[in-house]
Amino acid sequence: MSTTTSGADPRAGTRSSALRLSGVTKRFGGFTANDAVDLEVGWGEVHALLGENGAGKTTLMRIVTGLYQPDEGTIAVDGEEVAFRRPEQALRAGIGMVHQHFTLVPTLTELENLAMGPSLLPLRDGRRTALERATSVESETGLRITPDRRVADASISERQRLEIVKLLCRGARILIFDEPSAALTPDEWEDLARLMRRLADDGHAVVLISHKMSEVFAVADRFTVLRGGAVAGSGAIAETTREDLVEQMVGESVEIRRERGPVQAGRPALAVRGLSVLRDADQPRGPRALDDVGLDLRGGEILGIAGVAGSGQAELVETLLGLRIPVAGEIEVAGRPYVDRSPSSFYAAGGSLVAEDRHHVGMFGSMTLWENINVRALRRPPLVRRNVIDPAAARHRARDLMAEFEVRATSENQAMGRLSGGNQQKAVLARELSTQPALVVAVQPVRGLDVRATEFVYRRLLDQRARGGAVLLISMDLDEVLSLSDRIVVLAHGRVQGVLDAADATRARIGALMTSREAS
Amino acid sequence: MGIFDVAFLVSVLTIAAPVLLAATGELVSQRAGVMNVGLEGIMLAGAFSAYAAMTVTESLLIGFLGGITGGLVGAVLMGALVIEAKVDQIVAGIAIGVLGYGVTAFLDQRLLPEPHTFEPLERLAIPGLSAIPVLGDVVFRQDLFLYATLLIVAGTAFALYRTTWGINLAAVGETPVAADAAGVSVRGVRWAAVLVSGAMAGAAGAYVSVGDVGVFREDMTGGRGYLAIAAVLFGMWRLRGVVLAVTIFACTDAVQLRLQSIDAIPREVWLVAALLLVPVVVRALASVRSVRGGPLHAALRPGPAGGVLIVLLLAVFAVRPPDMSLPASLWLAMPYVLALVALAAAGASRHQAPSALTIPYVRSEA
Repeated sequence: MSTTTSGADPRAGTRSSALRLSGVTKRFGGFTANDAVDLEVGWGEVHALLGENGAGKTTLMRIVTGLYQPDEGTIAVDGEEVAFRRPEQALRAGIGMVHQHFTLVPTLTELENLAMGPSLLPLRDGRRTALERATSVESETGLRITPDRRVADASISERQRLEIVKLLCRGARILIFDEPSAALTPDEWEDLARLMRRLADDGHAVVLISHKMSEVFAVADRFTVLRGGAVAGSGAIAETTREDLVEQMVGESVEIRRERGPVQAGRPALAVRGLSVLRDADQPRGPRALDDVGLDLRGGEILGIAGVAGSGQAELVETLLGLRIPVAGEIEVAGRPYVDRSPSSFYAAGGSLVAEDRHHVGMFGSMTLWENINVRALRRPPLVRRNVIDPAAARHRARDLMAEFEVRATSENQAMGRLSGGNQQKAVLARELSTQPALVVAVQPVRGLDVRATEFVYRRLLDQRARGGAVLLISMDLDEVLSLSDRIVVLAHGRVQGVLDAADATRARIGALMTSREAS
Repeated sequence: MGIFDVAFLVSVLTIAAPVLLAATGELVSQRAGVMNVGLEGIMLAGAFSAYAAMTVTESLLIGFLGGITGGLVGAVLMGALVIEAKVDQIVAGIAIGVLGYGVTAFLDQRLLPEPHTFEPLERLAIPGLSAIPVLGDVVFRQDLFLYATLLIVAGTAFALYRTTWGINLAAVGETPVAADAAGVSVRGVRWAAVLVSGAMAGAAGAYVSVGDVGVFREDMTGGRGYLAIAAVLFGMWRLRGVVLAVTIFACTDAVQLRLQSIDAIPREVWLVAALLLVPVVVRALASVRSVRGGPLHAALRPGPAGGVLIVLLLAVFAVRPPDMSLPASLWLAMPYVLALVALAAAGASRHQAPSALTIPYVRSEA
């Protein structure tokens, strides 16, 4: 195990400790979320916190930000021991967290979001002081806000910037970023990475929680890896390698190359011809989200759709589900014309969907796991007898599928929303793949998942292909599209810019096609 | 015949004041994310407490303080149920509405079987301003409650839109997670908002009983609490909208009071009814037309054709009013019918509602 003292890093020689956790343990009932965790972050340092989903990062950060109290162990900020009972206390001690889901109020303006906060004189108007603070933060860090713009009108990266400004305005000196790149474009990530470095160079302490090795190696000075709630390793980034970190995270080396047989094109699974969809259904002459799009997908094949976000991917899925009505075009599913489009007829025709927005579209969070897993099969025998659902059979089926798809839960009666992200996605896959669909539409299927769960999802999609089913893989992640697809359709501005065989597709070629033409 | 004279405007203000005060309180509460459906019961509690306090002390000031206390008791119950116990807000609100009615009727029969009558609030003429023609008579010869209501509404406007407290309130109702992360106590803000709404509803109830008429009767608020809730929805959760909605309701109520005493329905009513229907019919025509066929084809379809016929009929009545009238109880229903229509229309603008309205806040959610 690597050292945890700052002396090991030559660049950290003069740094004093900003945040030090010693032996922090947190238990929930019989489950130990954090087991004697030591973590040390110095001033002026970008510290990467790594770990799979469920490794205890979130719990640890909730302890640091005062949402949970540790059962054992101590926390010291700038050398002084602290015990936070409420988040306000952590804020006052200078600890701020940039959450994955921003804590902003969309209906208020950016300035009002800064002014929000406890005030001793409730009838005071905090906007003036907020503006002064925002101005001084801008002069220090170059982060500029648009005071009178409603947050709802701001882009994701602008909201993230506001979130950072908000924390700096409140005097945060230890900044925690929870997977900040999840919703950013590569350019926006570059900006953020520069900002993190600048904040560290100005003497702040930065904690970066991330899954992406490239990001960690681009900005971090030191790292700590959590596995199963305990520290699996820590040290200086300069003295480690990617493979090393991945191994510390998962405890074993993950197969990166995917073995697969040659394409054995089977029956047609999806055919789309001349599909045109309006961006805004109320503007018949307005811009089109999809323009004369054609796709051809047969069983035993994975067709990847590459493109930057907003190229028409969402509209394509919504049209398949019948949620959008196209102005022109024909669609065939499993070789039959698919005219009366609706979600139920899509599933009836042999389609299935791994939705991008797992929490809102892909599952019923407050319903149990067995109810979720059986949703597609509930109306058919053997789960239905004489039009009555047989719960015992449904639970049995759920248990079988949980075993087959490695869904880890206390029982099939657990609420879906209580599972970790990876287990939720496995349950979604169990539901969507267990009905032997002719076509699986998978949209960003590994978003927010850890290495192991990602690997599981990929393997299951490849199984579907091997079984003779078809997969339409829609993803913004080029590496994902490249490593899984047999053919790749590049979508830009709602048009098909090119179709490539996986054999001769490269990042450069796809990238060139993705940016090849402006919107007409 | 003159329906619209100075006395009419005075009665509009008298009707509007308690509903406006209760609606302002409800707006504060709803902007914090608590839908206080029990407003009617809380108003009744205020009305009865004020009456009870008056029978003991005979002081209007103590009476109003008693009314506010009664409202606060109802609000504390509401807050304990929905903020602490996280009971469904609608269920808790309905319970409090029913409870307020039952308890006040029971206590009235048990404790104060002898009906008392008090002098209501005096009308105060503001020196100078009350000499202005029409406006002076309408606005500046009113009772203290109306002036206080206007001041409170203005103060609420300031608090909502010009203070940190107003920002926190909106944040708690819209994105409680964000408010919590900013160190704002979601619980504290919601309690404050519920108590404010309880105090305002209690004072409004006190006005309905001792302030306006000087007596208490079972269920005497007569749905004003529900009107206030409807006004918040119809006003799209903006204070300006709430004031407008209450004005419309009060005008309708004042009109129906007048119409109850008139033998035949005057032509103005037919005209207004026709004018109100026109946009509905036009929209129906447009939507049918956009599907297929020309305007004539659209007008011949049964739905729109019926609409067109009714509008024409109403127009004929407006020119030559038929000799008919409605029973008083139907006239009485007019503001409530309007409230229903308003709610249906506001249904389309539901997205204006605070996102966290009626949703209890539980911190540890991811």
